[in-house]
Amino acid sequence: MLNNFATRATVPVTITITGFVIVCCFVLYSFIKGDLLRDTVQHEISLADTIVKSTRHAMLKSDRETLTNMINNIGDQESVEHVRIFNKKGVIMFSANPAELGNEMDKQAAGCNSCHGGPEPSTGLGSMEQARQFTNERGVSVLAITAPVYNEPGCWTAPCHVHPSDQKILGTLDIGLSQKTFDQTMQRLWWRMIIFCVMILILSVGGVSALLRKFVLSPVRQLTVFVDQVSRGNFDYPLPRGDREIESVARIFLDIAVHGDKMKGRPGEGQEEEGES
Amino acid sequence: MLDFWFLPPIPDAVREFLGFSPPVTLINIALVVYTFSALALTLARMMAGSNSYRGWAHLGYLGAFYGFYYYAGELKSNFWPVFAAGLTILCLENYRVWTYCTDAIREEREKLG
Repeated sequence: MLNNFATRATVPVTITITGFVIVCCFVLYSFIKGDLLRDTVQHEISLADTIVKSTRHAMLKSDRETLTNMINNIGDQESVEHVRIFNKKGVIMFSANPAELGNEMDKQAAGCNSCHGGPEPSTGLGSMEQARQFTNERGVSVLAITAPVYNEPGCWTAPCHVHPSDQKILGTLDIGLSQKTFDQTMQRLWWRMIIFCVMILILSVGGVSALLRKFVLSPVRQLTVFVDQVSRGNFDYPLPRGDREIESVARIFLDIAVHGDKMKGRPGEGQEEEGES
Repeated sequence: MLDFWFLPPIPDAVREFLGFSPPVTLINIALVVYTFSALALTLARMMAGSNSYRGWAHLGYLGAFYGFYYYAGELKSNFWPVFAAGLTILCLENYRVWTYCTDAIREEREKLG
C-alpha cells in the first residue's frame, strides 16, 4: 500500500508542508507571545508611573491617609493582585493587603535582586528587567512591575520631611496584575493556530491528491486498460484522452501492436526479414 | 510541563568565557531558515535519487539548537518547535532512504528472478 504511486507522491509533500507549517506556527506563536508580553509590560510600567505621579502630592505632604486610600482603591480592582510601596530600606509602608504592612522584603527576592543583585544597587533598569512573572499563593499567574520612586527637587526641599539631595531613590512601587486575560488570549491564539494547521494539512494533501488523480493517476489507469485491451487484439478500443503524452504513448503502442499483428499474419515475410537482417 | 530539572545550570565562568547568548528571536529565525533549507535539500536529494543519509548530521544541528536555547535560558518555551522541526526533517529523510532501498531491493529481485 505504501509503495504505490499516489502514496509516494503524497507522503513527502504532506510531511514537508505540515511539518514546516507546524514549526512556523510554534515560532510565530513565540514571536506574538513575546510582543504581547512586551506590550503588557509597557502598559503596566505606564500604569505604575501614573500611580507614582498620582501619589506624588500626597507623598510631598506626607498625607498617609490619602495614600492609604489610593493604594486600597487601586488594590480593590479585579485584575490587581497586589500593590505596595516600599521605603528605601525595603519595608512595606503602604499596601492593599494590611497584613503585610511593616514587613521587610528580602533584597535577594525576585523583583528586588534585579537592582540589589550587585554590591551597589542599580538606579535604572530596562523595561523588561522591571517585570517579573510568578504564581502567587492563590495560584494566580501574576505579572508584576517594580517602579522606583525617584528623588526630585520638590522632595528634598519640602518643609515636611527632608531627604538628602544625593539620595536617588526614595522607595519602590510594586504592582502585580493577574495574567488571566493574557493567558486566555494566548490560549485562543493557540487553538486558532491548530485549526489553521489542520486546514493547511487538509488542503495540501487534498490538493496534491486531487491534482495527481486528475493529471497522472487517471490517465495512467486509462493507458493501462488501453494497453491491456490492445494486447488482447481489441484494436478499436478508444485511445486514452485528456493528456497529450499519454495519448502519444498509446498511439505508438497501437501502431506497434497493429504492425506486429500484420507481421504475425504473414509469418514467411517476417522470417525473411529476420533472415535478411 | 517541561522543567529540565536534570540539566545543570551553566557556571558563571563558562558564561563569562562565552559571552552573551544570541537573542532568542535570531535563534528562532535561524531555526525556520534551517528547517526550510533542510527540507528543500532532502526533497532535492529525493529527486536526484541520492543514496546518502544525512540524518546524523541533522541530529547534530538539532542538538546545537537545543544548546543555544538552553544557553539563552529559553529551552522550556522552545523545546517543541525544535522537536517538530527534527521530527519533520528526520521523517522526510528516512522516507527518502526507505523509498530508495525499496526500489533497490525490487531491482535486485528482478535481476535475480
